[in-house]
Amino acid sequence: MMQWGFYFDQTRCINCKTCVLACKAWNHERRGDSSIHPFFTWEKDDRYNEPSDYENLPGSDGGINYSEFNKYCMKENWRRVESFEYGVKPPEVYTINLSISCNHCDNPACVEICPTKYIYKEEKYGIVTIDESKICLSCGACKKACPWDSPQFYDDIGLYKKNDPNTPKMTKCDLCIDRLEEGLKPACVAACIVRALDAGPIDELKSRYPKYSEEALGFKRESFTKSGLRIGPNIIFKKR
Amino acid sequence: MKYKECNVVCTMHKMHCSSACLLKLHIRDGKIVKITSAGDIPRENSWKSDNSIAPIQRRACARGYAELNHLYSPDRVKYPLKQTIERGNPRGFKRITWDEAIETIAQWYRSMEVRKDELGYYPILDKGGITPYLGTCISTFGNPSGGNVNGAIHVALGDKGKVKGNSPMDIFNSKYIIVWSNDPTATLPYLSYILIKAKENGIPITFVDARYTESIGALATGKNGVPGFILVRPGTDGALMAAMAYIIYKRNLHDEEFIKEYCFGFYPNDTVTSHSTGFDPVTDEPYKGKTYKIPKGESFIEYLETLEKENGSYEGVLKWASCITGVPIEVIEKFAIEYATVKPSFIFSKYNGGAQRTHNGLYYSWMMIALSAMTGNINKRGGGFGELRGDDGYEVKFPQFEKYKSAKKYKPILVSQFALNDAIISGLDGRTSAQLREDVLNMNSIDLGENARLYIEAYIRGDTSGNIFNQTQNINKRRIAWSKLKHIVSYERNLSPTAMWSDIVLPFQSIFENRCNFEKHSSAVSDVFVLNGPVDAMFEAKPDAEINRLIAKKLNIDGFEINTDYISFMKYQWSKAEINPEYKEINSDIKLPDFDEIIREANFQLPVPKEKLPIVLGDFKPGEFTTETGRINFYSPFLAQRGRAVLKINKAQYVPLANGAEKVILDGGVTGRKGIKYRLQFITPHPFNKANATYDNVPTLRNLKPHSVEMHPEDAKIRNIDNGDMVYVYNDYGCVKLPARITATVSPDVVVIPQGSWYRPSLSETYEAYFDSDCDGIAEKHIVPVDVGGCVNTLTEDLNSGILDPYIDGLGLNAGGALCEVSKEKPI
Repeated sequence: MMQWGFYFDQTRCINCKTCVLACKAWNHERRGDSSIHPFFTWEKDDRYNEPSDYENLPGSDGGINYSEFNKYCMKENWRRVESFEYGVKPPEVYTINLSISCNHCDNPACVEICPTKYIYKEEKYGIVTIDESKICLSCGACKKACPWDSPQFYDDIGLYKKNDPNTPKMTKCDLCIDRLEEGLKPACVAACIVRALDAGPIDELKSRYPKYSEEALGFKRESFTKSGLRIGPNIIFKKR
Repeated sequence: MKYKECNVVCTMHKMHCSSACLLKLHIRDGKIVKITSAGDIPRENSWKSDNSIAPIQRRACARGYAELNHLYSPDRVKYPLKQTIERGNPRGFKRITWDEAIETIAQWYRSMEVRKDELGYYPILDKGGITPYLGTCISTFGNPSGGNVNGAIHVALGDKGKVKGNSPMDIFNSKYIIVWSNDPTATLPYLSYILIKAKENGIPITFVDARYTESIGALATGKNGVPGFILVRPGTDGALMAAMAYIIYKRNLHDEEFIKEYCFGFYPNDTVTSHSTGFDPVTDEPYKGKTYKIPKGESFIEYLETLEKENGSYEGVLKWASCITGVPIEVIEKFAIEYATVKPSFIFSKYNGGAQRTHNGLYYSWMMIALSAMTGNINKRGGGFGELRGDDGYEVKFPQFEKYKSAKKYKPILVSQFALNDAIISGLDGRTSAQLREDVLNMNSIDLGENARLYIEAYIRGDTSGNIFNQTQNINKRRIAWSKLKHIVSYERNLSPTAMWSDIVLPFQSIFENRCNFEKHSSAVSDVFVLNGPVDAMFEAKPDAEINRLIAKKLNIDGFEINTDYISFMKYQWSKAEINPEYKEINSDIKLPDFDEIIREANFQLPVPKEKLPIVLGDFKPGEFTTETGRINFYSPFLAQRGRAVLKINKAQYVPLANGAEKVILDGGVTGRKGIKYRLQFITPHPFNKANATYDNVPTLRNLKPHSVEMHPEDAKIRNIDNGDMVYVYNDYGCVKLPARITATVSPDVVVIPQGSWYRPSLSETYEAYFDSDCDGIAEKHIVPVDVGGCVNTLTEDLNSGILDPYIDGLGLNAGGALCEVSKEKPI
């Protein structure tokens, strides 16, 4: 089995979050609420015909109805950029950014904990992804088990009653396996303005970036699954 | 869904940053379902192309990808709308037919004919409609992005059309890069990558800014004891530059030979008989042969000596600058020496620079030119004076697209964009009645008579103007001014504040709908690209030119037939296309792609090696600039003679803001007309997730960084504010309500409100504002709604900045550095 992973250059990241949106611009049709609020249905929805109709929408505030329009957008962040602030006041301050999605780990904590085998590690690229033939119970155990917040829900599952069929289902990064199959780079990697992201077979990445680091500020590599296995995230860095 | 099911069309992201990034639109069933950009190429062997900067993959930023949600946004204006209640009330908009909308507008035009006969011009402010084709109407002058920079260029270096900064790739010829008051990660994302390459090539970089930015985090290195990040108080950048100039002069580090050969106004008693290649923009007379002498006390040396006299000594000047700017004395000194001795040094601020969008921005930009001139960096390879050009000097030439086949345009009467409120209310835009009469008589051959006033009674906002209701100063005063307009028409795509305040809103097409044309020159390199709108027009949207044609037709005016056979015209253009012959010296094998290829790839670049980049200022012979003196001006006789400098200063120097940092330092703030002491300076930078007012309605971008006022923990603590609290930011002009974000990246005494959020009046909360709405010079009380959209122009004062002269592009924006206060409780 080949194992794919990511490379992230922490010295280059400018926190522009292009990777975050490039991911969404490619994968938004697979957001968790796409069947509840399909992307193009608003076009035929009479409630959006005239601005006066916006008033009748829930959460209307007389202007741009952010909460209503947000329904048609991907809320899950399969890729995220975290920013860590250091210092007390300028000019002696700096921020360090960490762009991260799923690390497609050797021993994924989410796979181990999932009660229904909804998440699994596929064979060809070692990608941790979803088995659509199984069921997600929306239990949130995967989200808790993952040290890097990779399993994502479009809404806070804590707001839903137990066994509510409308509870959001988990979605996550699958390294754009559809794109890899076409010989393309993952959407986030292809998008990075400062070329701080790369993806590929992890051994290939290690030889492409021989001075790589296992660690980066804000990233905790040594993490373990519930049963005590070393998780082994497949990501390497150029550290700040 | 598999990639193969999509049809991919390449286009460019036409946005006013001019980066012109490549977008690949993935189309299924006639709809764009995915967007990728220039980096989306097969992975195998892509390393070289991915990492090259000449040619460069024009990779889009987050805003490019967000076009998916922007294009398919539920608040698209879908049908013509008519306001049936009061302006600004979304409940009053009712759908009407195109016929009704066009007939209504035509009716308004007919009613204006009487006024036109009375006045000699249409009292219609038209930005992109058909009025300029009917007769003389009114348009605006002033440039919010770069008016102050353009003004400084005009007075110091000459005709803006002939003066260009060095190109972005020229930074690789530099030994030291200074980025002043600019955050390329937010405003020029392509430049971030070029700068990263420069940094990794070992070129040191120092940033000067009033706040910490991501650019500083990723790019600042510092050099030889000069830190990577020099923090200045908002609006005091000019004081830092004045001190640097003083140090350079006192230590004899200035380039005397260069100054004597090229400059005017540095030395006392400077006299020159002009060999200028330029013409007076007012009289059209050549400057050549005229003699100019600097008045006593106006030379740059005399200014620097005055600084010394006022502050007692060399140390005194440094102490003065340090006290005002907040920069330590030793940093100022080292920075000045480093800039003067490391050559070439590249200094840039560019349009997006925040410091030039202040009331003293003209002098900030002029001081930057002065510094780069006195050190001789100004016209050198690897040097520069603050600007960047958008191309590398070469181009593909082809015939241009004419929008209308035969319509002829009349020259409009120009009025200050930044004093539009006053102009609508009082008929004057800051110019005296006599000046207005003189300008209009000279430019439009219309005599407004004694006690001249302009009448603005309607406003047509076509495709060429931005979201003007939101993006110019003093919104509460604008509500009053606009209430005096009889008619307001907007061509709009989303229900922006400008559309919200219109009587008729006409839906127009986006860049992705039903169009195709060539465009040239992204900001990074010389290139040709294709703007390709492959999806059908949505709902009842029409192209702006078609809207104009319909109105014209209704008024029985010909000449507005539009060229809609894009592809045949482009084929014709491409058949005539040729590359500059000189480019063959750089690459003798260069060949234009065939038509199908340029349409498919939408990208053709003419990269230039760094040693062959054109340096425009370097081509001017000494004394032959287009300024009146033919030289690089430290003092402008033209400006002095015209008498149109808003702040009445005609030379490069530091000019403090009337209510800025000095007041905070000396008095702890300023007590406004409201009787409240405002202690915090606010600045209004461009955020990375908006392009001016575009995109505030796009949730995906908003989610990346929710709009907030950023403040330092010290300032928050005094005011008992926690991270995430809803707070009120207010001053005499108005009050906005938005969440607070507490961060150590902002200086104490300064708050940051990113610009571009849409104004939204609260339906329940009001505020007592004080401003002058009847133009008698006295502020009176107004009860206004609290702005819950968080638009910073609710707080800004509508002041002209720079040069109030319609003959030159030198009128700038007053956006940052003024004072406000923040509280958790709603102020009265």
